[in-house]
Amino acid sequence: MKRFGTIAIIVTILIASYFGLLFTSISFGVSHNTGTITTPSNDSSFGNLFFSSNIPDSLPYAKYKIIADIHNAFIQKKEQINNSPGLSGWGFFNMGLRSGIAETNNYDNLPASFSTENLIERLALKDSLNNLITEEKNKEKISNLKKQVDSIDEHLHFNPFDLALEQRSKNENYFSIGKYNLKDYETKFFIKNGTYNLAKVKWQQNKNNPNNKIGKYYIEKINFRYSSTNKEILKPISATTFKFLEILLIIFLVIASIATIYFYVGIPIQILVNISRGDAFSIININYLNAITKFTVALTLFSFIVPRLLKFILIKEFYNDFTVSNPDGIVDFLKFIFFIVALILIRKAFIKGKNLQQENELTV
Amino acid sequence: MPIVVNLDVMLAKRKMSLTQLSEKAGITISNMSILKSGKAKAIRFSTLEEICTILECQPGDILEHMDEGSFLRLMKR
Repeated sequence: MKRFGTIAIIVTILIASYFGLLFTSISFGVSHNTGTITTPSNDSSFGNLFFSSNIPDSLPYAKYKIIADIHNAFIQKKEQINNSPGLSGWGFFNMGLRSGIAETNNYDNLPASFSTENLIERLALKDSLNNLITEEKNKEKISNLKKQVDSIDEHLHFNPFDLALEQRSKNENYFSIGKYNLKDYETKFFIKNGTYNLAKVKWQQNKNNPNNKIGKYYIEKINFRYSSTNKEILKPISATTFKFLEILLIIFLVIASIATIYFYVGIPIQILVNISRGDAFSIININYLNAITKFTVALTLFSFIVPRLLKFILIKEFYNDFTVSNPDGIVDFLKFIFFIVALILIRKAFIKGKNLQQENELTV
Repeated sequence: MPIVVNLDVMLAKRKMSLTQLSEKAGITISNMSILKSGKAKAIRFSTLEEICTILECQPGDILEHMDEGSFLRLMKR
């Protein structure tokens, strides 16, 4: 052990684990259950989370594609609303303020005029109208028939979500906190009638096959939104609270920015200037290095502990369903730790240098 | 470091001032003051030899080892 050096081995292990975590996306805390889950497809109580088109395979490809495209646009929009709401905002240390037009209301279900059956009927009608057009010789009648075909075409190329534009103009404000993963792999977040819900799986033993479990989705209402894309929990807040927090965050951000510039730009430049003046191993430089180390430690503790503290103290309600995105947190934490270790080593070197210099100066 | 420099005692015995010693030894007065006041961290053999030659004494007459307690008491005075 002595031959290799204990500290060198510890550092090697630390760095190896850092890269290990960086390159392998280990998701701690996310549990995977095995078994058969019955998905409640087309169950409107789940806000069309498990929407399925059910287009008959016998349909010609061109028609199949028209219906599939309309339904895919609906599914994609639903996914976007549920997982990555396009909210603007800003923040730091995994906390922030988000606001924007919250697409939560009144468009949970696909309008009946866009159902598979209805679209098949419209496509059949379009075929019949086109046949009539080829047979008809009266120009006026042809013109009327073409108008009807155009009306059907317009409907077929319409994004069903555009219908709800007027109903989605409410501005919502949120306090965001990240980074969180859903604890269970099967759990999904969805919005229905402007309410926030989780679709969770309840596992039961299969009586016929004891080795296989049967999972059934059920709904649990929650009072916050979740963005799986940004791994953020979005707590709805009033406009007044938003304004107040915004001012508070701006003040904090200004102070934090000034402190960061002072500690990571101002002080290092000051140290370099001192060194260039031949005053390298001085108590002032050691104190400067000490200040940078302390600031980095405070920054590390703040960025690592605060989201966890908020998790345990402020927002207890999501403790059961969400977990801190550990790989991100640990990797960030390790980055800071390495930086702190480097700073401590530099400070130690400066102290040693100062002692040697002093000893040299006080040798008669 | 509980090593006491008894340079002032030897200077008094030889009726010599610190300035005279520094001039004779070729050591700056400030360095000699550091040595006399006990602030020095180390002393070169050449310096010690020079001082012993001038003051006609042994290194033991100038340097004395004390226990920690006695040294601290002396320093407080």
